[in-house]
Amino acid sequence: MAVTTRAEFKERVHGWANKLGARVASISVRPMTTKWASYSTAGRLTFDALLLELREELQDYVIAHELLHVHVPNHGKLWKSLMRAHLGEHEELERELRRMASGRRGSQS
Amino acid sequence: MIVTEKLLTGYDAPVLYAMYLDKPMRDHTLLQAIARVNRPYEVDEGDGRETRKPHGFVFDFVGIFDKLEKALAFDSDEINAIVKDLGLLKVLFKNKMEQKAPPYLKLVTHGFNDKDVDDLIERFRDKGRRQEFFKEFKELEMLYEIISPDAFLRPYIDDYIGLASMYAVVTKAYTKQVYVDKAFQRKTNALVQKHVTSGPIAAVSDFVPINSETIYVIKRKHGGDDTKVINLIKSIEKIAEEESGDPFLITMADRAKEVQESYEARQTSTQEALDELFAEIKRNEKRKKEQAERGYDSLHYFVFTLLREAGVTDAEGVSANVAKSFGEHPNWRQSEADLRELRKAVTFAVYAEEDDLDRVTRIVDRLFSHLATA
Repeated sequence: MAVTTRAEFKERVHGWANKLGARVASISVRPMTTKWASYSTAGRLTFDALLLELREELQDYVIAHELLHVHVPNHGKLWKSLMRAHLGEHEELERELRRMASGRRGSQS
Repeated sequence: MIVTEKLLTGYDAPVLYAMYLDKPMRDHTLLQAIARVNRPYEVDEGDGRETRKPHGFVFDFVGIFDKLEKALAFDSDEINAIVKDLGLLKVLFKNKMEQKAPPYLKLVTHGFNDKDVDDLIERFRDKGRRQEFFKEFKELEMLYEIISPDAFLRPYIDDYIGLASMYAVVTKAYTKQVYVDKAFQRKTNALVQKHVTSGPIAAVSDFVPINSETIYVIKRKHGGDDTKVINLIKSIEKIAEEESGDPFLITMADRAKEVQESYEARQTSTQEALDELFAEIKRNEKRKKEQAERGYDSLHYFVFTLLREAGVTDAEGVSANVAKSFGEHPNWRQSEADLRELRKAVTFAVYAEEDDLDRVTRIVDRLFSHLATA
């Protein structure tokens, strides 16, 4: 599978940030051990470097997931509805990521 | 369990049902405490039905809840401020109402009369089909809860109420123990309360007493046959739950469950299912009569029929001895030692009339495996 470069990935994140109207202060891509990505209220986004090797669909899921937290700080009905609106059937993607996470390092995604 | 200032964080037992609150708490301590009990709990029992706990109960001895509502109330203006793209959600709602809803709405043609309810039950016999509908409705409901109140919703309200009513009927028919008003979220519930008459929902949750009149009552009832199948199965389960000391009713409820499974899988027709349930009820009446004539209690009678079916000579005498042994070991369900003693006594009682030890063991095994589930 073609590997996404860091530049391409960051471009992707910016694309989503524009679409969702989310303010992004910084984006870093580095190996992470316990989660795929994180977002701090200061606008710092961090992504696991392994995402670069995944399908674009899965990258989009993780990116949109985090960026939606800019406006919606939880996983409630508002967040779920917005995920549905932007990504369609996203549950299967989430399960896939979880499976990968538990297969690879035996921890949560 | 009584707790003071403990287990507020991290304690995760979704099955926890009620909390009795008897000291003043506020802010996040209060929220934490409520969150211990207010966790949804769903378990698929593997037989196509689910037990659901959509929320917990807090019994408030202090009167905290006025404050809580204030603290937790957030209005849609706030949401509007946060979500710039509420418009997107409206589009999603509109698309769903225009594309996904019509096939469902078509199922109800006569304002939820008996025939409509019966058609719905028939239509959603299949578990997969039910789950698909539940998922669609829950997503719509989520959107509705976010968007409402908004004039945008006006043209969809009637259809939305229709779907909510269908949801109420189908969950009531196929899910164990659902309080309909609790199955909905806040705004949807208000809508349902205001517009939906309880008629169609009552039709599926209408219990009939299981006795010699049942068949007559059911036959005379208006409503379709599918509704009647559901009514009967629920009523049999209810009586088995209420009189859980009666092993015969437990096995009857098990058989009713089997009927329901093959009915849902369309292995039996509606009429066959109804006939099988009638046969169960007749069998139950017959045994009640015989049991009364012999003057046995339900356990004694259960043992007696089991021995008789196994071909044990003098099933009467043996079952009397077995029943006596059960009386002498009332704690056999809780105590391993008691169970061991009881099993020994029962084995000897059967062995007195039955020479083949293998057969004796088989009979005793069967007896206990039946009673263990009761």
